[in-house]
Amino acid sequence: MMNVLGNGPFWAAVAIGIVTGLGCAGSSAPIEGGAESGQMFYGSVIDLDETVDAQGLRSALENEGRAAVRFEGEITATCAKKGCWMDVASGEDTVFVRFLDYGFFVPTEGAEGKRTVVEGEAFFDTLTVDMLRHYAEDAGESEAYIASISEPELQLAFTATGVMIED
Amino acid sequence: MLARCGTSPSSAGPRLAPTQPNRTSPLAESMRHLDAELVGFRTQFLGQVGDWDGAAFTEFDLNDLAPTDSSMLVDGYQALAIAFEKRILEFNDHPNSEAYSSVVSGCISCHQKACPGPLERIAKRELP
Repeated sequence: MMNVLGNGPFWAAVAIGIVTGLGCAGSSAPIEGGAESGQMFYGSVIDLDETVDAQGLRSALENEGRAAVRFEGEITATCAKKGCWMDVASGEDTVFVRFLDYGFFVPTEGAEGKRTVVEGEAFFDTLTVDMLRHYAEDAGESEAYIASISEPELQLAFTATGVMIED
Repeated sequence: MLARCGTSPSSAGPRLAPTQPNRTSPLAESMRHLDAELVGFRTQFLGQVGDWDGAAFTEFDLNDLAPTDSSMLVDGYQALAIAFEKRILEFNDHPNSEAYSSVVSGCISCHQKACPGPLERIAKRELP
């Protein structure tokens, strides 16, 4: 797998981040502080430098089909039921972002149009018709739209270990 | 990478949201509870202890717990929930690897129909 971020330190940081993020389970309010930045982190606190856009993402995927990257874009949708996925647009691409091991969630509403940086692993994923219909239902699409989904879809996908959303 | 979690407010440092920043539900809470028990029992068995002594899942009435969204109560949910509770009882009566794997299979069966999001997470609860 291509690793844009480097090896040891990145994954060590991810591990620390996951532990840190899961450690917040059950807490009812966000950690305060640093409010002037308008940034909220989900899952783990990630670095925000060396990000790539969708074009950079596609370049990173050229060699091995998977890449550890930090990707930046604009949120166009989040799962309205649980906050377990989000669509992030960059250029002409929309990347389908899910969160490692269903281990953390993002807001179910109010995130659309906001800038985000996600850190983790990018890859191409074929979503089955059942999955596409499920995610369309999550997104609140009409029954007619959901019923019209009849073909699997190859998508740019991302499993995030940490997410930053900027107000 | 340092972030505080559950500490008192401070004027500096990043803000880390709670794992679930949205409304949750009794059914979702029970799932998280059962997942934690799966992790604990699996770790006990695969670790130095090497047995299932003392392992017993919490016995939830899954048909009585409200879901996060009614759409999760798919056709067949009620029967799947009853079947899953039976697997739990079988494990609790005689904790062993087969009964544990049966519980994990029960999780997968239901989530394949009702809410596929956690499937990758559940797969990591299977025994090697």
